[in-house]
Amino acid sequence: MHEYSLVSHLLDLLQELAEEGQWPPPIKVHLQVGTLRQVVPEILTSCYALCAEGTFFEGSSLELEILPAVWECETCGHQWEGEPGSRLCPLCGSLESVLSGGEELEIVSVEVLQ
Amino acid sequence: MPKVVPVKRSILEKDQRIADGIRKDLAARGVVMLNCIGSPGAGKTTLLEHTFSKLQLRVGVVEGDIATERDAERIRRSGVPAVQINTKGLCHLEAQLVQRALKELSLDDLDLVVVENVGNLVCPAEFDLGEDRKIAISSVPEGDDKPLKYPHLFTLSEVVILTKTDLLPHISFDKARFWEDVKFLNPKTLCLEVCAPSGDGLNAWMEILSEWCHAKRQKGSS
Repeated sequence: MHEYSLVSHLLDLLQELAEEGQWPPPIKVHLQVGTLRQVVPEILTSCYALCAEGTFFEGSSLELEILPAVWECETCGHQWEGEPGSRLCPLCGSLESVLSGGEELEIVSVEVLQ
Repeated sequence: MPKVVPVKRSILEKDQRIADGIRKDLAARGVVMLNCIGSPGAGKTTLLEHTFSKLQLRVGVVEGDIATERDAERIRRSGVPAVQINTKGLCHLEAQLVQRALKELSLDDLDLVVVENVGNLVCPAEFDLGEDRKIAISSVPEGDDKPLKYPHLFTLSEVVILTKTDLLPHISFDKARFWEDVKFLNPKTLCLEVCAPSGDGLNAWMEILSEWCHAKRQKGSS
């Protein structure tokens, strides 16, 4: 449901960066999305294509890399990948863990025509 | 051959800057802000109305709804200033909208700002509004499976309030399972049960609010 909102934030930032860097026309936008962001990849990419119409980014595609949730144990420092609620440390059994990955929403790079 | 331009920027950085700004501003004023999230009909506004009728704190409210001024009007009737945001279709609040609404409240005269997010268990959990804490509100008629079905919200919330507990005798709701799942997702969560109209469980909730506001004011003045 919030994909449209994310795409508007994404296009605003891209527009700013394109103007600053005087980019040639872009072909692909590489985005890292943490699994906890509850994004539906197909909706995000089709929403991007739709919203990019009529802008400098029209015709470019969104390439998504989905990153796993990563937990870090505050007791023993062990890190592991898991779903939400996987905060029980498999090594020492502690429940004192924090998320260290899985909430990313980052533009990694943009492919542009030379 | 295409050329790769490295970027490495978060798409929510602008929104995050606004949220961080709100947090800093409220810290300087010693005001606590809560982001209340729950389904439509979970009893969020009813909980707030009954809380404010007895609470000895100076409170302001930001109401988020897709349409109508109804919730803000209800809150104002309990003597509390309320600003209504109509998102006109957006399924959650964002920091920019909250920043605008906060300008309409006299923050220096408040101890607590409660933001009631748009009724939804998914999207509101994704956006930082600059709050101190997220509060998940879940009602008995929604069923006991909500924590595991919407894990992100329950993982991030520091308090989970189960509302409409007077309906427990009439509905198949496994309370032990509900709280077990909540604790599985976040063992540090504070668990509260309330029936707002009868006042059951409200005292514990009000005590927590008072403690938070007292602690933040002390931190601000130290």
